[in-house]
This record gives sequence, C-alpha cells and structure tokens, in this order.
Amino acid sequence: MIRPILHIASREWQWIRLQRRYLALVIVAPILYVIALGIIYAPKKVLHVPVAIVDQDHSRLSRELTSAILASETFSLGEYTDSPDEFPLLVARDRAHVCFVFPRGLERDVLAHRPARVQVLLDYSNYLAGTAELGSANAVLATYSVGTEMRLIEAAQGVSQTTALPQAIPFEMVTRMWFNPAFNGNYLNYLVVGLAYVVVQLAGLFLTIRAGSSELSGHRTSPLRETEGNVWIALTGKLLPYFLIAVPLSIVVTQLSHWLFAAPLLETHPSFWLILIWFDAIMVTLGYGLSSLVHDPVFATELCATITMPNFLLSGYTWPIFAMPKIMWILAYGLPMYSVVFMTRKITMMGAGIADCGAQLIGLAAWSITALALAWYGTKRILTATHEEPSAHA
Amino acid sequence: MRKPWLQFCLREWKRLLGDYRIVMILLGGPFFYALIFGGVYWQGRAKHVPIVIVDQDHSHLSREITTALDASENLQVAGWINSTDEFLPLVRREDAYACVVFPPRFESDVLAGKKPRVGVVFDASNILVNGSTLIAIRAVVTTYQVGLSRERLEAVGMSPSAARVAAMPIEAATRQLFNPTSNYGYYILMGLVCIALQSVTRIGCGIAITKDSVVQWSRSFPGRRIDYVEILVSKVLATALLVLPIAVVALALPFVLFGAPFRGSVLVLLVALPLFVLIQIGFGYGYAALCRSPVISTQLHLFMSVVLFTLSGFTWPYYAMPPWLRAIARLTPLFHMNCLVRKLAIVGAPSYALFPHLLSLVALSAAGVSWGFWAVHKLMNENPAAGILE
Repeated sequence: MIRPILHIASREWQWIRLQRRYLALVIVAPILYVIALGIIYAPKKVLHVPVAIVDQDHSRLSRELTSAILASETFSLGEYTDSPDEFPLLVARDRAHVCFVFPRGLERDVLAHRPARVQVLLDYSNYLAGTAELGSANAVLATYSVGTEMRLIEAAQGVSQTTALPQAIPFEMVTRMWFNPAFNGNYLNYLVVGLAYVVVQLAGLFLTIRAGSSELSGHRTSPLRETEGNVWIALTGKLLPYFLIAVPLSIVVTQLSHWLFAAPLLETHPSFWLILIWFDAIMVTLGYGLSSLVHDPVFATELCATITMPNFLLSGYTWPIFAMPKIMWILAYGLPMYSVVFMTRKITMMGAGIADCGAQLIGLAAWSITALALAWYGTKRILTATHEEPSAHA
Repeated sequence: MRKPWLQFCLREWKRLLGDYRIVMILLGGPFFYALIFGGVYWQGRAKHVPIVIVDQDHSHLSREITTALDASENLQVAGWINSTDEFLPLVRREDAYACVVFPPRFESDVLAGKKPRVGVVFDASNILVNGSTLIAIRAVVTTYQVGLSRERLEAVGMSPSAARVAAMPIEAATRQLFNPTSNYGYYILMGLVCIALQSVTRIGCGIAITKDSVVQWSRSFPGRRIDYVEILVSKVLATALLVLPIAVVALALPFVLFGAPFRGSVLVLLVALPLFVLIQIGFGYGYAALCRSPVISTQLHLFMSVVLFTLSGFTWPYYAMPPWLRAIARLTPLFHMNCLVRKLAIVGAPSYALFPHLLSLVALSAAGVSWGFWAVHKLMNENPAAGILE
C-alpha cells in the first residue's frame, strides 16, 4: 500500500517541479504578504496624528495644555488656526485630524471658578484613528482637569494635597488587560497574526488548485492507473507532496511577524501546531477537491476567491460576530476561518486547551469531512476517466 | 453596415459575456462582495457587549453603577460572578468580554474619603471590541467620579455651583465630526467595495485578455490591418461600458442600502470612478501579461488584495505610516480612490480639496493605459492561434 502512494507522490512531485512559476507565487507571495503587513503595522499604534490648535485665549494655561498635547506621542503639530471652522478643510487636505479649541477667557474662568470648556474636534471619518485620538485627548485633558481640581480644593479648603486628592477623585478606576497587555492599541500584535491566516488559507488552496484538473487536461504523461481503482491510495499520494510544502510554509508565515517584527508569541502549545497542520490539510484537500470536480483552474480559483475574500471579515477576528445580523452568523460560523483563528487566539493568547474549543472543533471537523468528500468524489471521477481512456483508444 | 468601433465593442462584449467565469467575477463579484460586507457591518457598532460584575460590596453605590453600566447602549450586564477567576472560562467561551469589580467596603471607603478602586478586567485580544467597551465603562465611571466629587465638595460647605465647577474645572467637550455615532459600517463599507471593484475588474480583465489573440481578431475582421491601438481602445471601451454601471451601483449600495452618509459632490465621484475603472482595466491586462497565465494573475490579485487595502490607508491611517511607505501608498490607485471616496462621502470635502487625488488618478490612468497597451501587444501575439488560456 505504501509503495503506490509513494509512487504517485513522487510523480506528483516531479510535476510540481515543472510548475515553477505557480510554486514561486504560492511560496513567495505569502511571505511577502506578511512582511508587507508587518512593515505597515510596524509603528504598532496610531502615532503623530497632525493636530490643529485654535488658541483664542493666549494664556499660560492654554500654552501649557498645548505643550502637554504635543508631548503625547499620538499627536504632532499640524498647524495653528484662527477658527474651528477651518478644521473640515484641514481634514480634507490631510493637514490636521484633531482640533483643540481653547476659548477666550479659559484661564480666567478656571481661576474664577467658572466652568471652562476645551473643545476637541475629532475626525471620525477613520474609526480606528478617531478612537485612538479620542483616548489620547481625554487622557491629556483629564490629567489637567484633575490637577486643576486639586489646586482649587486646596485653595478653597486650605487642605493638603493628600486630603484634596480623594475629594478630586473619590474612587479610582483601575484597568487590567488580560492575555496580553501589549495588545492595547497595538495593531501589529493583534492584526498581523490574524491576517497571516488569510494567506495560509490561500496558499493551501492554490497549491492544489490545478492538481486535479491537470489529470484530465492531457498534461500528464502517465495516468493514475497503478492505484487499481483505490481512491484512498490515489488521494493520499496526490496530496502528500502538497501537504509537505504547505506545512512548513504555514509555519513560516504564522511565525514571521514574531521573527521579524518582534510580535509576541505568547504560548506555542502543541495544540497550536496540531490545529495549524490540520487547517493546512483541510485547505490542501479542499483545493484539490474543487480542482478535480470543476476541472477548470480559473473557475476553481474564482470559487476559492468567493470563499476566502469575505472570510476574514466574517470570522469575527476584528468585527465581533455578536455585532453581525443573525443571518450572517450562519456564514461566520460556517466558514473555516472562524474555527482556526478563534482556536489559535484561545490557545496562544488565552492559554486555553483543545477542550475549550468545542464549537471551533466541530467547525473544523465539518470542513474536514466536506473537503475529504469532495476530494474523494473528484479522485473517483479522475480514476474512472483514466481507466476508461485505454479502452476508448482501443 | 455597422461602424467598425461598434463592431469591435460587440465582439468584445460577446467574448466577455460568453464566458461564465468572466460574467461571474466581473458582473456578479461587486454585488456579492458589497452585500456580504454590508451584511457584516449592518449594525454599525458593537452594541451590547456582554460584561460581568463582581460585586463584593453589595452596596447602594455598586448597584447604582451596575445599573448605569447596563443602561449604556454599548454594554450589557450578562451576569454576576463571585470572583475574577470565574471570568476566564467566560472569556474563552466568548460569553463575556469585560469584568467590573467592586471591592468590599467600596461605598464606605468612598464616604470615608479613602479613595477605593473599581477594577476593570477585560479581554484585550480584540482591539475593536475592547476599545469601545473600555470607553463605555470609563464614561459611566467618570460620571460617578465627578458626581461624587461634587457631592463631597458640597458636603464640606461649597456652594452647588462652585462645587460643580471644582469637580470638573476643565471640561473636554469632544465632538466626533463626520461620523458622530462611531458607526464602523459607514466608515469601512465604501473602502471594501472599492477594493472588491479593483480585484474583480483586474481578475476579469486578466482572464479576458489571455483568451484573445491576433489570429482570432483577424478572423473576426478579415482583411483589416492589425492595429494594436485600435484593439486596446475597443477592448477598454467595451469593458469599461460593461463594468462602469456595475461599479456605480455597487458603490451606491453602502449609501442607498446600508444608510452610509454621502455629503460631497456626486459629480466628483462620477469623474473619479471611470478613471479608477480605466486604471484597473489597464492594470488587469498588465498583470496578466506579466504572469502569462489567468490562474497565476487571479491568484496574485487575491494575494495582493489585503496588502493593497491596508496600504490604501483606509483602516490603518496613512499618516501613521512611515514617510517612505506613505510615498509607496501614493503610487497605488486604491489609495487615491479610497481617500477621495472617504473625504467626499464622510467628510463632505469640497471638490478643490480633492484635486490632488483626481490628478493622481489621471496620471495613474495614463500609466494604466500604457501598461495595458504593452500587455495587449504582448499577449495577443503570444499564442496567435487560440490565446493562452488554460
């Protein structure tokens, strides 16, 4: 049984070696993809957002607040303007994305115990940048507000700083980020790891997308006759070389952001590797299954695109599934990306085990059965066709 | 007798519409992706994020803050647990994303001026969820901090108006311009439709061009001299006339069907869109000629789509990229199209502010047409008999 498998595998390997351009694309593109994303997200956080300052007060307080804002790594000086009305145009011209307005009489009002207000205009046309800007603006202004409040309490009541503090902040909110504190606002650690699975999936599918159709297109010199009709032998022999390419490739792709960009790899539990290899096996089998059934590699690639393009968005890795309409849940839970990214996240970040991944295991198992069924049926059709060929010629 | 240009276009339409793979990707693709993406972001915001409470105080204050948290549109108190140890399995099962902890004697410590702490433990593995969750929790807690500070100041003899000022001497009045409800769908949908348009047009054109050859062209128009400019213009014209209406409808879907705002000039968009389509047709031919195979070019576009979308600065802001990377981003058509669409639709930017993006699209169109011409010349001669389609 082993010999025919190895024979088919070696025949497949020879054919793969002839397809250098395909192989180069499927191996090089995923690596370049992760490197490109790593470079884009290398700053990790949204930094140096250009800020417009409208200082109508020209006081010590407004200058102090401006210095504090510009000292924050999130902001850099865009320009000083006279009126907040100019801000939308500055946004359109990319010259500012946040605007701080210090109204006339700000310092005087604070000293006279009158309510004072600093206006912060945020460009929320980019949600990610807007959220980062909002957090940083609040942090700077809240610090100043509490500091001023303490000074006012000290002056009004003649108490010490220690007594004034609990009055200014009656209770404190302490936040603790679980699983990885570095994930707070750090898109390199969070997103690149997840996006790597998009190419792991594509590479697995594309490796075998011509493997089935080539058997029937007259590209092969020796058909699969040595299997004597055993579908499992043919299937194992056909998929083995692709699987041996896909596994090291997916390991490199998933680890590249860690090696090159120092993205933290929290836990590499054996179950992580098991799931990665399992996912590779599903994708390689699915690609071959589609290829052997559809026969047309262009159409099969288009089918893969239909599955893979919306797959990451639907996986819930970025946009949570509970925030999607219920009808989309079927797609979200049904597509293979959900299972693999959530299992990986749970195992590598949350320190969970396989036992905590019940729903995801069912998902991957269902895709394994589907892929195997497609590949089995496709191989059976190929074997039937290749066995009928001599008699047809006769 | 029909005019030759009409005949050229009819021939191209027959070729495009006669291939189910091209029809599927070029005509069906934009709608399929626009509807799927729209469905994903239908709700627009991650509302009712489930959180749990560890109330070790059981006081009036802890219950009041819990009620306020539950009343927040972004949060939903999913239940009470005894300690943070019970939170971990809930996170792993995706049943809760944050845990608010009220320590014992919380209320009495506040009254005694001892400055107790409210703990917030949260799942930091998803930036989108934890960002909005933390902002919502912080908003509720800050309201109580300010309210209590005011009460304490009044208790020590300060007048209510003075206490109100002293409790928050500098108020940050934040205003979220352009997208005040922080609707994620409004912001991201149009960018996703643009990348889908780019990918499907390039893929469709790549498949179409590799099917054609000079021999087939001569058979269609016997006796006519082979003129590659004529061939290119007719192909681009026919494809653009087919793709443009679809592109218009697909790009309108986020606004018409999914309620995203459009504040700018439709005319500017109607100028930019044909340029964008023209670039994609030229680039589609160009990549097909480089790859010399419709399968490889299709795969290449799929591999590139995520990187090009990220590089366009639609999600990760381009002003947060290093200058050299920003320069590369500016060379991609998607960068200019996405900037233009966002600034036009969400910011409501005036036309003159978008002029640099329009100018860049014109320059890239020239590059696309030149690359397309080279590709048509190369591919039509590569396999004169039947094209190189596998």
